[in-house]
Amino acid sequence: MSSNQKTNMLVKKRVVYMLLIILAVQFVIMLRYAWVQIVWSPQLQKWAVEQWTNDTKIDAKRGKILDRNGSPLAVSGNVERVDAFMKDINEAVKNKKITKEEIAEKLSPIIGMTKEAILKKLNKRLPNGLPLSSVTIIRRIEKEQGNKIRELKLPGIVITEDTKRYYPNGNFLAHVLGNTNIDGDGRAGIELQYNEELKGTPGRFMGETDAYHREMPYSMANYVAPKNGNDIVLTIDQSIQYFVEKQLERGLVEYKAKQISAIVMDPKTGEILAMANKPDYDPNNPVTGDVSESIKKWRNRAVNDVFEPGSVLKVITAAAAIEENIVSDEDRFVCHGSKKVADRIIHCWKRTGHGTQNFAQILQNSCNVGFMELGERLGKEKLYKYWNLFGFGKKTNIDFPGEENGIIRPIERVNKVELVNQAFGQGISVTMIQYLTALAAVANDGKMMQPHLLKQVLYTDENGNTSIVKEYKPKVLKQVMSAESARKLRAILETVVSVGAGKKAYLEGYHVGGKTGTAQKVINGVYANGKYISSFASMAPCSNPEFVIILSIDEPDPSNYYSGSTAAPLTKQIIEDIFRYRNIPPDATANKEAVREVVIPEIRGLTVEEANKILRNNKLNFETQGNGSIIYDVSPTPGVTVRENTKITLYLGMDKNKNEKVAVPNFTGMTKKEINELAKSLGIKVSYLGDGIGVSQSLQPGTEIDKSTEIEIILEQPED
Amino acid sequence: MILDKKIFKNLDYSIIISIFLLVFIGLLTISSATRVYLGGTPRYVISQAVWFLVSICVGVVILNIDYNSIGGYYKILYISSIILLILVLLIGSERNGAKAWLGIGPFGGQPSELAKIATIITISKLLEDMENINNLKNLGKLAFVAILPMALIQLQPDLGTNLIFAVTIFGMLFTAGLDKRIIYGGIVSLATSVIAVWELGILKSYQKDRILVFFRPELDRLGSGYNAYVAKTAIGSGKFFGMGLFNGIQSSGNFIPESHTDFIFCVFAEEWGFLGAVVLLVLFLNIILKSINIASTSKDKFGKYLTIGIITMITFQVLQNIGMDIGLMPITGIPLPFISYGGSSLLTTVVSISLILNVGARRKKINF
Repeated sequence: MSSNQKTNMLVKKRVVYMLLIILAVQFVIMLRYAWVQIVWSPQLQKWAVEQWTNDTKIDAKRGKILDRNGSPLAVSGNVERVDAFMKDINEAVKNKKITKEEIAEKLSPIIGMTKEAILKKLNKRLPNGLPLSSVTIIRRIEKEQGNKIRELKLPGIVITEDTKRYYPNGNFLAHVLGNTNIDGDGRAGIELQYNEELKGTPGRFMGETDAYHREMPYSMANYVAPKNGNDIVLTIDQSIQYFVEKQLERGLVEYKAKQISAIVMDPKTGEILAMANKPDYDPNNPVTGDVSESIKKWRNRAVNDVFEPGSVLKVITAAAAIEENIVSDEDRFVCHGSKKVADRIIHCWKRTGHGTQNFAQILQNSCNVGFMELGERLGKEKLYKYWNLFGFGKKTNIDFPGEENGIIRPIERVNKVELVNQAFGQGISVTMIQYLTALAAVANDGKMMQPHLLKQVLYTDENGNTSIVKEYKPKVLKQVMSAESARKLRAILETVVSVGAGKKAYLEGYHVGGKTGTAQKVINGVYANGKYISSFASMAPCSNPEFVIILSIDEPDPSNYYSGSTAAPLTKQIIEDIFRYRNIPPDATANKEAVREVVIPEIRGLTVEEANKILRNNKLNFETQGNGSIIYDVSPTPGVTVRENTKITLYLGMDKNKNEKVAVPNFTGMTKKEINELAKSLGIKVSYLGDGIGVSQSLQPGTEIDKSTEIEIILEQPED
Repeated sequence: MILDKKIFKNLDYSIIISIFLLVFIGLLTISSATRVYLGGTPRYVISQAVWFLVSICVGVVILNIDYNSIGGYYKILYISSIILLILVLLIGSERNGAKAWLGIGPFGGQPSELAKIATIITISKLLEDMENINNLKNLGKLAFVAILPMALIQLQPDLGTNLIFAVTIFGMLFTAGLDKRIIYGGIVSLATSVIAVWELGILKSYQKDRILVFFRPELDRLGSGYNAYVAKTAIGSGKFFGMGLFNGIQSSGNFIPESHTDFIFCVFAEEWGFLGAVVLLVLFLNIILKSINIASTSKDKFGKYLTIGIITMITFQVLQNIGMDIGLMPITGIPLPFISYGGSSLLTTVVSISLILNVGARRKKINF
């Protein structure tokens, strides 16, 4: 026989062996199975009956949600539940001690359930007709109710601790926290994201029901204690969150906005310090009225919705331009109010043009023509390289459910027009968290950090010892630009606030950098008239930012929607609050150039005492010349703009023969409302051409005029 | 596609009928386990039925291709299954402590299922080309092919699937004439490595718990012994005639964990009793015996090893799954072929059986 034939023989033999082995194994299984199902069956069935009549789940206590300093934001309160243990009740009924009707009747008024409903529960049975071990009559009743039931001493009615979710601060941080459903499971926000950590493991109890309420020492075999849930420590700082919510609430009312959102992040760690949207809801009562309407209110729009950022995106275009080295300080950008791109005339928001500007000035003025030029210099490949680097169109993977991707047009479908539009912030949608993560990278010397809400997971055992289960370590995602380029960009952003469009966020003595953005809303694919999103992106202190903020107002009242006069002042207040809270002292090196300016008010004809009050309010000093009680003239003339704390001269006399001339103030950059107020205080007449903010006026500032002269002011819609 | 009439004339229809009956029993049991009759979601039953239809289509396609042509692609099959196993570690999603599932939305499956078939085909092909497997070079080659997917699966980690791998490959090598001395040596080294694995902490703690509790389940009947305990009480409640379809209490009371997947046999045994289990085992036994017959009369060695490999895999899964319910085997997450809910598992089993039918339909003696 050849070796091949030998192998064949062996293989044949082995196949037969395999058959025998398989048959033997099957035989053993059959034997054992028969033994379990037929011989062992009576014992097993007894255990099974025991299980379905005596198995009780003991709920674990849900973990707390805390802010970074340990303040409780969501807690599980102590309430009670009422269960009926059927074995005891049936025994009592059998011994004629009580009837189920009597039990239902006594419970009904205390817990506010109808007698019929309670009876129905007491008579509930398993699908196969066997009695249940226990039924839950009602959950989450107050302690007083529980005590009243205890006093009744009803057989088989057991009152035990139950958990209910409380949000002690009501609406505070509602969108981030989320809420829980009737079973105590998270269904939105952090409650959902970290449900597994928070919920713990329910315990089980199996055995004689008597033992359950007598607190007998449980034996290992029939009692498993519930393991309480872990506590979640968020990166949120309750104080900063409060500052933010206060300003958002104010903004919502003051600017008659549809909604308003903000996020504060620590750029060095990616920690979210505050995140809020208004209007919000009370997670203690998450469903009021229509369910689907209620669910809409739970949306954390800062993460779950996209918006067109408009001009705040210019920060990223500028970052790309600096990093790619396509601009120098000597470059000049000339804006005549529009630019022709591939047969299309695209306007700057300022139709009259910004004139000749350098790189810093196009950011300060938010000049669209300048940024179109930058877009053309970059080209779509490079611009998209930075969109990608800065994370647009992709989730940030923040630990929050339901994050949106943002929308970027595929690069193949980007032509010249789309390219320049995107460069100044149109035709691209991002989430607020996405934008802020990108901005934070600029603040953190180009290092992009993973944004996150979880700081720690804590576990407290039965003895009250707390240990850290998990700790989130800050994670660097990537270097999106060089540290040097980032610093350069931040220096320019500081000038946007000190001399540019973000003036109203200027804080004396502090380095604050920022960028305004007012975008017309896109509804069903077209830009909707009178509907805007005004955003302000900022960082402070600009030299070494400790926090970055994005604040966005959705549909502010069209009469005053310009980001510089809505989002910027709100942000300023938040920054000021944080500075004070963190004890950050003013910095002497901060830009002094932008000391606040005031217009000298009309005080002629008033007494010195009356004038003193007005001048103090306007932060002006004064000296007097001449004798008398009535001011007949002022130098400089009312209407002239001077720095704060300038000393002006009041000429006093006895007669009312006062000077009637005023100087024309500079109305540039003011909203219609502000111009009206100023003109009224000086007693001059104004008329308007167009709508928006002041860009030019018929008489040059400083011109001395009679009060009867009418000044014509040209307004422009700031699409900035 | 032109269906090859000759192939369909030569098919072993008793195997096919057995499969249809088993899947039908499976669908009934899944609907009981997911409590459809109590208002539970019918999603599982529908999904399983759809997967079965898809599996049949794939099976018909496979029947039309000569298994030797399929065998010719063994390298591509093997390499792509390895790539998928690596992918699942990188981007797979975690279920029950193991990173085993790959896919987008509802579409996807467990790459380890595909790896099972691919490895069986590869080993069969290698065995066919080897004159004698009892030398270092050949054994080394086989060991490498077998261990690579197992190592990747261990990283998920999925001990149960690796157990199937080990037994299947051993069955194939045994059939191919593995030297007795090597078998004895293997047993000794296995014993040693079991101790080593236990001591060196390669197993996750829940895996250790399951094995410990297997030896002493009464220790912890509510904790890690709960599954083993409830499984037995369910079977014991079934007795000879069973409690009747949809009348099982351990299942309707939702006491059985994973009752539509790993522990589905308990639901079946509680409702159908000993009588039902005998029917079930007869159906399985029919598939097994017919397949071994196909193996011993196949026209070539590749078909023989392929059939033996597949039938060892299925037999072992049945043994392991039922065995863990009756306290013969430790608890692992291995589904019961044809019965348990699970799309990729069903597809793999049906595809494997169609490979066996493929071998059976192309036997020499019939084609004369």
